[in-house]
Amino acid sequence: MEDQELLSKIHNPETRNYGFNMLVRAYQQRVYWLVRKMVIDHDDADDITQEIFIKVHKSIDGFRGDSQLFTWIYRIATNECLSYLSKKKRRFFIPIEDIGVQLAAKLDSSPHITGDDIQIKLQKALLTLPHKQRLVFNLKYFEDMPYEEMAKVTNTSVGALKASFHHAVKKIEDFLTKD
Amino acid sequence: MKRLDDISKKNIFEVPDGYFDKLALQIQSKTEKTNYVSKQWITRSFSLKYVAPAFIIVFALIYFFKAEEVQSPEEILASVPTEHLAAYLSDSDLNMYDLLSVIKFDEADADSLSKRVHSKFDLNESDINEYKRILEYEL
Repeated sequence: MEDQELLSKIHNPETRNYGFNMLVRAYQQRVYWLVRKMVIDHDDADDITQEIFIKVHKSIDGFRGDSQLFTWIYRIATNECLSYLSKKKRRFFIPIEDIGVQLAAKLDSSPHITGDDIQIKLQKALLTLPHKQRLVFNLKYFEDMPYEEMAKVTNTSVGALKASFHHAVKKIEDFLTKD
Repeated sequence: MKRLDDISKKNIFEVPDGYFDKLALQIQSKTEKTNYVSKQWITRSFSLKYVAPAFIIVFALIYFFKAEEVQSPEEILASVPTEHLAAYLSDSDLNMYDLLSVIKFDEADADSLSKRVHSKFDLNESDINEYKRILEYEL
């Protein structure tokens, strides 16, 4: 179903629930995987994904169509992820490196993670990056999102995103080379 | 140096079986609750916006009219201390004759006032004769 059709169903009170259910089914996987790569743990990702769609539901009437529907949903999702991680840091007074250590430990212990050693190591390398830089890396490397769209999602200039991605790649390759 | 290009882009994360079917249903049940809560909030905000002010106005009107019924001008005046009234009257332009002209005396009031005035004087026969003589002279 096209975005315009989804939106017209959501804006019609008689088909609102059906339309929103269609929207969730259309975008839930992409949102979930974005969140999961940021928070690693399935239960956390599950909670945050639900929270994101509740926020989408609350503010969908204010969506003016200035950007693509998915870009708008992704903006809510990225804000929610970054907010979750910074809240976690503030709540437990944890330095950013230690959050990385905690999340890396989940990579080893979580039942819903597979992959060979080098892929696990790549994820651990990512966890040494600042949250926003990790987000930029995930969007570019795993989702192949164009910089222009990423700029709309993250509200950052294309130049800054390119620089951030370039530095992230360098740090990751250094990490992979260390051991 | 190990290069990123050498690593496959496989997604290493997994979800429990049937997770995404359940996720859509969970979100749906939560958003329907949100709809219910927001409908309740609309009702509540309607009551706050219109019903509450209407109640306040009704109570204010009842209080206003009741207050008028209870407190007549005479009652309000009765609550003012006598010395305040005396101070007000002494500062005003009203003289004794103006005041007497607005007070409606009947015969009983006149007798009562006369007794109260005369009880304050301790006059003997010669004082009375002197008083009569002065009145005759002045009139």
